[in-house]
Amino acid sequence: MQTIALTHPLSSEDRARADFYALLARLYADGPDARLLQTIARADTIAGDSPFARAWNRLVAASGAMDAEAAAQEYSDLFIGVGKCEVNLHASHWLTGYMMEKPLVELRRELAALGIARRGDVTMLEDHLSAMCETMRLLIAGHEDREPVPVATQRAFFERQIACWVFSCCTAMRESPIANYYACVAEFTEQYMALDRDALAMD
Amino acid sequence: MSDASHRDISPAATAAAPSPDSKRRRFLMAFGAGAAGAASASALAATPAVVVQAAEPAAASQGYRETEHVRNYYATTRI
Repeated sequence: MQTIALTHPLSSEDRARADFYALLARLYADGPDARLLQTIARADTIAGDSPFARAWNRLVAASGAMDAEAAAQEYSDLFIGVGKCEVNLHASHWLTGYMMEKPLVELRRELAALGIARRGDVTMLEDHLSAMCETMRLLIAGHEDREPVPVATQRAFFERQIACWVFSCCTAMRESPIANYYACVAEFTEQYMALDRDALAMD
Repeated sequence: MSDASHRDISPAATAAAPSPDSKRRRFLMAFGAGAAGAASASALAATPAVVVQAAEPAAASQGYRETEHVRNYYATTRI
């Protein structure tokens, strides 16, 4: 496993935020492998009865019960499909009904202004939920000689590029008749995004 | 008159109101989302996705460029 050297000291809550976004980025990039499922299954549960705690604890339990092969199949059925996917993970689809529309252009412009670009070897579009989560992680934690950005910049990106569609996308995942493990992932995503939206709003 | 005087913040004012950062910290902590706990395990899982990374701003030219994406596309058209 590749490890990334962390050169930027982060507060524990920013470290946690970056880690949650990184986890979501992985879960939406591809079905979780056995190692990832095991890692989540062994994670600490969160005390309390908040919707966020319940959603995380359910994801932890579901990860212990899920096997990688079934997860890969479910990811493929839900997000790739044959001809048309069951749930589309691209912002442009949710905002305009079509892929690669204006929102993607605007997102690329905003990423360029932030000094972020897609890696050359990646074919995933920038407005994919996984890429959006990865961008949030990068903004929060920085990377190598890249500094973390101020909260105001994180908030602006989150509100302009993520908040306007992610909740509809999560609802569609949760309500899909073929979602099982990803219904738990979607519920956690929804709760986490709502929490971070409210945290970012504090100023 | 020195500009510096405008930037002075009295110690009393700073101590009285919690900063946005500490409000945010307390808020996230209250929900269990602020400390290492749950997320530390997910950090282990947090690597290979890296879809985006810091980059130099793109060149101003809007002309045709044979990017990696274009090369990938042509690669898929070869039989």
